[in-house]
Amino acid sequence: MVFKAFLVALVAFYGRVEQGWLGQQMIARPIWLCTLVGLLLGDLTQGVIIGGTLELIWAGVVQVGATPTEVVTGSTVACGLAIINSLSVAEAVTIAIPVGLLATILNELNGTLVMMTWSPLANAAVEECDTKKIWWCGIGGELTRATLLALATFVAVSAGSVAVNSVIGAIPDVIRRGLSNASKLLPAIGIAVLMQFSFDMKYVGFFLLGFVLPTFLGLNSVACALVGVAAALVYFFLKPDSVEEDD
Amino acid sequence: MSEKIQLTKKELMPVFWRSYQALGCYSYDKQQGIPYLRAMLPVLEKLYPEQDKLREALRRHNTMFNTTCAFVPFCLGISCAMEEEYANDTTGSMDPESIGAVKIALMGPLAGIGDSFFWGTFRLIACGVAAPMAAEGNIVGVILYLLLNLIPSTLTRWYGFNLGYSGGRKFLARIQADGTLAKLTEASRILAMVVIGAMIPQIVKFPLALTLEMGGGTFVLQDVVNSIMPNLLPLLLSIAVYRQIMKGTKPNVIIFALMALGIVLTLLGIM
Repeated sequence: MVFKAFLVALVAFYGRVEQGWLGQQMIARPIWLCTLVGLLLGDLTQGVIIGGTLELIWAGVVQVGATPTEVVTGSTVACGLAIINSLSVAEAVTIAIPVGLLATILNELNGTLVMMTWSPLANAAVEECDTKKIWWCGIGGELTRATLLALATFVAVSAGSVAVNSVIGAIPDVIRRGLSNASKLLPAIGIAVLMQFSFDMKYVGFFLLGFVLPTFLGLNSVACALVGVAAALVYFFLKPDSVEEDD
Repeated sequence: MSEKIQLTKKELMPVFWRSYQALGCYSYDKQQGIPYLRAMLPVLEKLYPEQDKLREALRRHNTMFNTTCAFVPFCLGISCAMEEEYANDTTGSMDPESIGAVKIALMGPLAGIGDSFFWGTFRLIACGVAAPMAAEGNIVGVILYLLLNLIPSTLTRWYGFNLGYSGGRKFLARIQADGTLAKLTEASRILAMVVIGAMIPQIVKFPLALTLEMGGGTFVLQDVVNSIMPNLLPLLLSIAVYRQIMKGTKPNVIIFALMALGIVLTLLGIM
């Protein structure tokens, strides 16, 4: 049991680092990860079936912007438990969904952890010109995240399905929802940091223009970017060359 | 007068390989920023042997960056070309700020195109074709899924990096000569401001849940706020955080404040 849980945790670790270290090529998904779990636990076909089923359920879950359901942990824990305990595909699905949501909290926790540890470390390394340290900082965040989620996977699979369900029920709902709500506010920090680098009072009109486009005109990000390009082109072609002398 | 420093495959290939670790240290404040800096290291170390110049370059790339992973090599290629140009610029006509401005101007549009291509198109097609096969226990579905995702992403990465570097360099040589680089920098900052303004409603959310029954009518807080202006709260929140950062408040303090705010507002039933 413990060895099997370790194998499942290995797949969860791989699933995280596929995104962090191997380029996020969209394969850290149930269809591939459950196949690997099935292969390692000796029931390839069941792994493929659970993977395909979860893939269809989670087709809409994409890793863009705010953190959605953590599909890596959700699918490996559910597939591992299902194969070890000979559960049905439907039972695997009922485990996968809450586990995925719960693992999202760990995921968000790591985002905060990175900001408090690796990020200041990188800032210090920049000032010291310590490129070796920067090398480590650049991959460190995924190391902590993958370890954290692989550990969670290991514990969940070892503890078994009954224990998994009771733990999920025990966390106060308000904390779960509160953290999930807070994760929607946190990207404001990213915006503020970006503004710090390119904002100048003389550009405030363009900033306002950008805000209005999706808000009132419902434009998507490609359309907004094109309006930005248009504004930049107008400036670029209509502003007289500074090298030309005034008459 | 120093000799011209030319980048070779020896520095550029490691940059390409390190582009795969773009999400290697994802944080809320810099997103892909630290891995981007890490990827640039081989080139920066070659171009700036003096420590002061190197530190300046490291600072320049130690900023927030985020785009679709498959387009990161393209941006890196351009950054490499621009750093090479700046390191060899003896006339002082190139503004190093433009290196960062180009990154910021590129990441929004590329993320928009890339997310809809790689998350929304290739992955969805692969999922639609392969997942039903796998759900019936057919392993061909899994293999198909891998190929449909890996092939477009690998091609985009490799050709993007080369195009970014070679195109970026030629482009720069030309515009530097005719003096339009300064104008281009200004234009790219305008583009960046429009993109940043447009990003707020897309990535910052402030959902309100409060509803009250009042004398036959229902008071829905979100509707009231929306009637003033949709996305008003994400905008105000972003401006408030920006002002705090300009005042020197540490991002960690802001993170805790926002997490506390989220939990308290949820507790009160407002969010």
